[in-house]
Amino acid sequence: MTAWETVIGLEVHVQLATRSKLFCGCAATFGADPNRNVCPVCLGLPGALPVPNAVAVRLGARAALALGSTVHPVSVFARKNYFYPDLPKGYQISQFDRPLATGGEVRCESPDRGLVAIGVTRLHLEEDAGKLIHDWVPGRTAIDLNRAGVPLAEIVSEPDLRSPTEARAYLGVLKQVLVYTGVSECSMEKGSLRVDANISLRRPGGPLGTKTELKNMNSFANVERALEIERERQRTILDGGGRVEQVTLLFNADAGTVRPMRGKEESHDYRYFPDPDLPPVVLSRAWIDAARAELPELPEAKRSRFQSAHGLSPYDATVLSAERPVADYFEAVVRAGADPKTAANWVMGESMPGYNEVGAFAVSAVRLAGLIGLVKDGTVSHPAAKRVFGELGAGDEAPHAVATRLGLVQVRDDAQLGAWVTQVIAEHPAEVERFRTGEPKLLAFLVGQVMKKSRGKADPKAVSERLLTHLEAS
Amino acid sequence: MTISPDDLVRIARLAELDIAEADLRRLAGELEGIVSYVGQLTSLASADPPAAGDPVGVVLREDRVDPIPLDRAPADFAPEFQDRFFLVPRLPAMDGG
Ligand SMILES: [Zn+2]
Repeated sequence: MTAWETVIGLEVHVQLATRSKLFCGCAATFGADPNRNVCPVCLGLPGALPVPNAVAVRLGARAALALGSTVHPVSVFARKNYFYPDLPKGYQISQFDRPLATGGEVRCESPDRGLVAIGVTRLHLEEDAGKLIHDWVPGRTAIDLNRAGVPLAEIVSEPDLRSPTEARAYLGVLKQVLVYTGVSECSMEKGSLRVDANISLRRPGGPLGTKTELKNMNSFANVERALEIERERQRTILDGGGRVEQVTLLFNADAGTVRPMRGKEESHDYRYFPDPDLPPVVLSRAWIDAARAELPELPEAKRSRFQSAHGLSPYDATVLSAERPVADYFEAVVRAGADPKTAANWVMGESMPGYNEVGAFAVSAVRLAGLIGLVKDGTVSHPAAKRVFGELGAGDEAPHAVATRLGLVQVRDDAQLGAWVTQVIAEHPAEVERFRTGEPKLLAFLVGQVMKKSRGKADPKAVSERLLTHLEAS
Repeated sequence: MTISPDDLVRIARLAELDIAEADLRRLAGELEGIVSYVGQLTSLASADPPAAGDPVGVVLREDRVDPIPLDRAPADFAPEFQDRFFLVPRLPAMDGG
């Protein structure tokens, strides 16, 4: 069997994080009662005029700049005409031949090819359509127009992806950048991120094959699955000498299948033309520069800085830079005086489970740094510090106060330690003898006995030193 | 410009209009008349368009939730409205999505 090369391109729609819709003052929030957020503009009532939302334009430009795209000084809103009940005006306001931005790339890790740069073809602004529910009332389609007019950025990739896994990696990086920059919440559950995928197979280096389009995937995992299923389907057709038909396919997650949409919707002729209600979007050089200056440090840059400036491993740097709140928290712990590697271990091991659950850090960076300081100067043991950490979340007591209250401050009192050590040596003559005759692992047992006597309050390092002194002296 | 019955069928389909076979030729003629009437505009002498300077951009609005209130509630102007949803006949073409 001859090898086929997979060629994939993705179209990603993200909802821009604005308060109001793209062309009217209706709320753009998710979850309102049906048809609550509607007005004459987004209902397409006669005489209503659209006025673009400045923040939507700015967020679109910010996304483009974060992807290294060129933001164009002049872009044009166009009407994309089609009749469908989710589109009250009979057209969608989008951008066509003069999009907000073109070019750019997304760098992601491919399992087969290492780090790959996936080209971005274009980024344009458009309004979302309404939501349809079929047969909720028999024989009827119910329409909720709350989403109609919600601002979207559509980001189209070049057909540079070579496997379903790469497609998923691309989506992960793209989402990370868009969330980092505050462009979008990128939640597939809430409908603020949607993915359509194009896929075709060809002989390596040969001309592109006929592509099909996949829709209706509700998670990144399902994008990957749908692409795998469709790749197999196309491969079977081509290996059998058949031809792939250009169709739009709907993914069914439950059945794990793709099936064609009804043909009629296929032959769209959108008859794009510039929206006569909307003059071009004109952005000055200064405006674009200001949008660029607004960009935060992006995940990739942060990841490499965490390695170079804080000496973190690539893995730790990746985990800690994955989300901006986590990265900011980690750096605040370091700024508050903690050693970066120790801070990294604490943030990943102790702070992140809680953050991942509730989306916030229970223990402030300054208090965590304080706790790390207590371990460093030997005031509390590492296990004791973990218990203190558990308590810290509940209030605003200082770490040292919590450790004292819980009786976890280590005993470093020489006389007390000496007494415990002497007792343990007296109580375990057999183990002491074995240690002396060449079984060094018995030291750990003896340290454990002293720790038990101290009810965990002794500093194990001090105990170990003290034991050795005693055992060697006598 | 001539408009053939085939052109007319395609335009009608894009507009979701059902046109009887018997009306095709007559409507194509009427549409051709409308298009050529508008086409007379191109024969008019016109002043040169203003020299291209910086294009005047659209005025952007602040991102504020401040909708223009509806004069009447949706239920009052929708042909069918139930439990806050607009209702339309379910089209077979919608089976896809
Ligand atoms: Zn509105």
